[in-house]
Amino acid sequence: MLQNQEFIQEFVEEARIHIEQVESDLLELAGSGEDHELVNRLFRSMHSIKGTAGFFGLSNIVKLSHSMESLFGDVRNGNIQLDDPSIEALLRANDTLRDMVNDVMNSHLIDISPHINEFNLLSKKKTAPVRSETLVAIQGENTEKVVIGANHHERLEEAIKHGHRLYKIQLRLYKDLDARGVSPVAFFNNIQSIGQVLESHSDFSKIRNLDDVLDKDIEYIFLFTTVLEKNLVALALDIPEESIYELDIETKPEEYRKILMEEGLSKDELPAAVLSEDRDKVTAKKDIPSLNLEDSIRVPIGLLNDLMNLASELVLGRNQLLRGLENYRRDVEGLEPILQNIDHITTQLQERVMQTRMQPLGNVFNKFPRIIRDLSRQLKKEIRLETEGTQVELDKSIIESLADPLTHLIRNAADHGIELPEERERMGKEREGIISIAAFQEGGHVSILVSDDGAGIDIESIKAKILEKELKTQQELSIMDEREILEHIFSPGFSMASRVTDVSGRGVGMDVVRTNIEKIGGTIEIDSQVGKGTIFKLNLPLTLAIISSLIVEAGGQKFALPQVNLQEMVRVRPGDRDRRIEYVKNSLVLRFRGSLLPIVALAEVLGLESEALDQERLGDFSKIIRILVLKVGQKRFGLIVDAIHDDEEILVKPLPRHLKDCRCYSGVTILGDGGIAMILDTDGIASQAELKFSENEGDSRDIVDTKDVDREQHTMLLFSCSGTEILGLHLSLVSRVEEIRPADIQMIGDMEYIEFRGTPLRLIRPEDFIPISRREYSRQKLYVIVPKLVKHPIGILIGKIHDTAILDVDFSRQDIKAHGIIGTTFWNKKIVLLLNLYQLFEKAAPEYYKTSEPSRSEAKKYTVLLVEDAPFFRRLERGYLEEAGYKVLEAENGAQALDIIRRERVDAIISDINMPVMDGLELIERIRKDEKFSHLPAIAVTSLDGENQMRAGIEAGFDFYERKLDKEMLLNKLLAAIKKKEARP
Amino acid sequence: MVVRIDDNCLKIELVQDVTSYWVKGKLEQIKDAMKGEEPYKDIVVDMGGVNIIDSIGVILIIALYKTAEELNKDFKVVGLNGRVSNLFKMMRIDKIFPVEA
Repeated sequence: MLQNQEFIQEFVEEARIHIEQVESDLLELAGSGEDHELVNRLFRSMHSIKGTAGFFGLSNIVKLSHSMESLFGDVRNGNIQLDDPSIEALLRANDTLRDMVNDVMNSHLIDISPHINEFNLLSKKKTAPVRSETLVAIQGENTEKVVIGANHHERLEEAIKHGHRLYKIQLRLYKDLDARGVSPVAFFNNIQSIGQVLESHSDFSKIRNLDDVLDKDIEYIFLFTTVLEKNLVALALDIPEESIYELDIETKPEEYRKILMEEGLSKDELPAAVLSEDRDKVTAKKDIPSLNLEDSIRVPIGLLNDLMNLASELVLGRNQLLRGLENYRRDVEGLEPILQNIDHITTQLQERVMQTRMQPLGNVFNKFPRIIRDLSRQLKKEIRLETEGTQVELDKSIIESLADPLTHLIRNAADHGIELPEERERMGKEREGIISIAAFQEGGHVSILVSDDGAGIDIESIKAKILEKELKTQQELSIMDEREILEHIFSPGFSMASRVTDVSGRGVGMDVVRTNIEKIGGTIEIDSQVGKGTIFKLNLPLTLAIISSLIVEAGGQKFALPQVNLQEMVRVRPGDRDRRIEYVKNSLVLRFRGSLLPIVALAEVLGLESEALDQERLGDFSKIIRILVLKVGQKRFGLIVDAIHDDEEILVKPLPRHLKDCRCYSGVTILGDGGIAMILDTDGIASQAELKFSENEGDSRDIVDTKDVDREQHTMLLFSCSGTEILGLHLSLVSRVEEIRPADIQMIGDMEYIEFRGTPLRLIRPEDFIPISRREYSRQKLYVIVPKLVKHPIGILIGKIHDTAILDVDFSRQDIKAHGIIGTTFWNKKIVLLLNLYQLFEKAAPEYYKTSEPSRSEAKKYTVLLVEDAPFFRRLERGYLEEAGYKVLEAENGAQALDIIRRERVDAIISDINMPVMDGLELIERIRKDEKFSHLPAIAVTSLDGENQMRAGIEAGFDFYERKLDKEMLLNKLLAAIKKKEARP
Repeated sequence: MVVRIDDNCLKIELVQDVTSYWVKGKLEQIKDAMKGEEPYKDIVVDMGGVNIIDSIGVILIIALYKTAEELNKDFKVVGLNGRVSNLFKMMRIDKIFPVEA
């Protein structure tokens, strides 16, 4: 019986759609209770499957669908009420039906008896006597009035018994047949071979005489029964599906004539009673997309793929043609419009062919209600699934690749996200958790949000897991933002589940989800809030084969950059104030609209020579530099290229195998000019360049390159007072920066104060004490730097904060000398004056900060050896000591210090702990072991905090242990240590 | 195609393919014959030589009939082969004017 492969394939595809529909209808029925329309649709779906399966002799499928259909019939007639167990039974049967349909050739091997038995049991529970059903209408009282002959009756009865369908077909002879190359003779032969015409009518009224032959048509309308489904009728007769209307097979024959004669009958105008789809519709639910099979024909996917490849090649050919004829466009008359036309049509053709492969996301989303239903039971949770955007379309291959990742996310949300109902109640949430999946199109891509209102992901437990798995160190974690930490759930083998369940928590999954999404050119992002829930956002391309790209050049080669990654293009002209290229801690950045973007030259990443690269190397930004601002997930970076060419639709070809490992490329293409261009992989470039991104682009502190931290770099707060000079203050001296309004400043005597945390804080203006320019503040917003590590807090009034930057500070140069200035450095080619806070305070508030004269004269007697590797601190501390009156010797490490004390007289040592060659602890141990120096007063100064370090310092032999920048304390302790040693016999 | 008047009868003998191409070429000739000077009473369309007929061919037959009505002439079609006859029956053309095999 199985003869026609093509028709069987039609049946399989058709049946699959019905089976999916049955599943979603059953689930909806379980939720909504009685719904006449749903039951009708279920009945019809089974009826369709049965009818066509019967046509092909697929007896097992017929049996099962028949018994399901009977059950739905009983439900429809009110004989049976569907409860949960019976819906379960129907779902299971539907699964079996799906298995059989998926392997039709072997469908007879599947045992369907358990389902049949189950349905028989259910049928026995009938609550009411079976009502007289269907087909009796024909034999009813009006039979004698029927206009058609008695043999029609018999035919019709037979037709009903065999599950035939009744159609009204309305055709125009010329337009619907001739135009499709169908001869009327063949058409009428065909009609008779696939079914029976019950009634027909030809409308010749439009043909009035011979003048109408060439421009008027004959309309032919007929009623027709056949076993075929509507789309198969269209296929068999080779007529448009729109011209076929399905009627209720139970339509009374006396109505045939009337139906037939309805002038200009269109589907919309058909009386409701005529269309079987509408017959039982009482409250049609518009939100359930009903199967719309009328307006389509089926085409093998292989053919579509061929079409797409051809269309893609055509695009390529078009590009080459346009490029090749570029120079002749104006010379050859009439060429221009032809080229434009070809250009336009090719684009349209390609778009249309793409569309044929587009499928609604509903195809994937449809399976989730069942999954959620099953999971709810398994996990004993109450979960509601909300879907949105089922009509959004994506390329078939993308839709197919999405099923697994999305299922995984949904399962995770149900298992880890949504809490148990009791727990939710305790937290003041609804018992029922919501998992929502929403799709929407944004520009050239589609976003899918999978969210739940469950427990969220606890950052701390991820951190613990990261440490446990030794993926990162504590220190690395401390500079990572929440999103970066969350991203770790995508690491291979990273599972947050404390237990392994059937549902999830096996540590395989999220990394696979990400890999799969990235494989189809998409990205996935996560956001989660403890107690509130988790959101995954998937960004997906609409299609894979042809992408819109920008052709750029670097090192004399052309590259295609996918437009989807491109945010904007920036041209940096020399002297441009709004966009500048700068170095922040050895990393190149673009300062742009108040943000700092890490930038990298494409040529450098790819190891090519280029002009832009040379400029960059030389730090010569005197020419125009072209930067593409690219987006990688949440992060952005700038890519320097030598030239930017046209937009081009490119055909993506996979990378040849020998280039598979080049992470900077995602594919290869042929350009319009015939040249080959590599397609750039933005993510790959970012990781190849080892770019590190800041949490907040505006904050340059976080842009850190991967090279070791140079010890002579210091983090500075950069600001200006009322003048234009840029001042820098070591960040470790800043407690906080307060924003104030000028009106907040209050005068007491000739001093200025603000209220700060409930106490008056004195303000000083640095321009009053150090030689920098001074203007009136016109700003409405001023800032106060509140310093730390000072005995008597004084606020520093400033006008503008520029940045916090890690700067190279070169203390060997002393170009600008002034009291209150410890040194200079450069930032953006501008001079930065580094503030000596203590000198400034000493001048501003000598009553608190001036070292007393008596102690100064005493200090003059002593020589202090300052052991410090960092020039900045060495200079700062030397300043304190010299001001206090001490003579100061310097050493850069413990070894040098030992050398000096052996050669020169030293009365006390102030030493750093962490130093190269020999650290402070080793130094003091050696000193204490040496009888000659064991008495030497020694103070450890360090920026390290903590009891342990202090204890270690004291145990090693230091007399005191002090913080580096606390000048007062340091001087006091130094004097105390000297006195203590002197007091010893 | 042969058009002639015999015994007060305009005979139109159609042959081979009565298709859109053919109809376009012969339409004016047919019109002229029907509305010509020479008087006649009946119109007989002989389809004995027709192998193929397309939609325009069917429309031509109907138009011939309608024109005959206009001109107050009797009209019939003769010599149909089985397949074309089936077509005429299905379309119920045989119900509006005599159709003979």
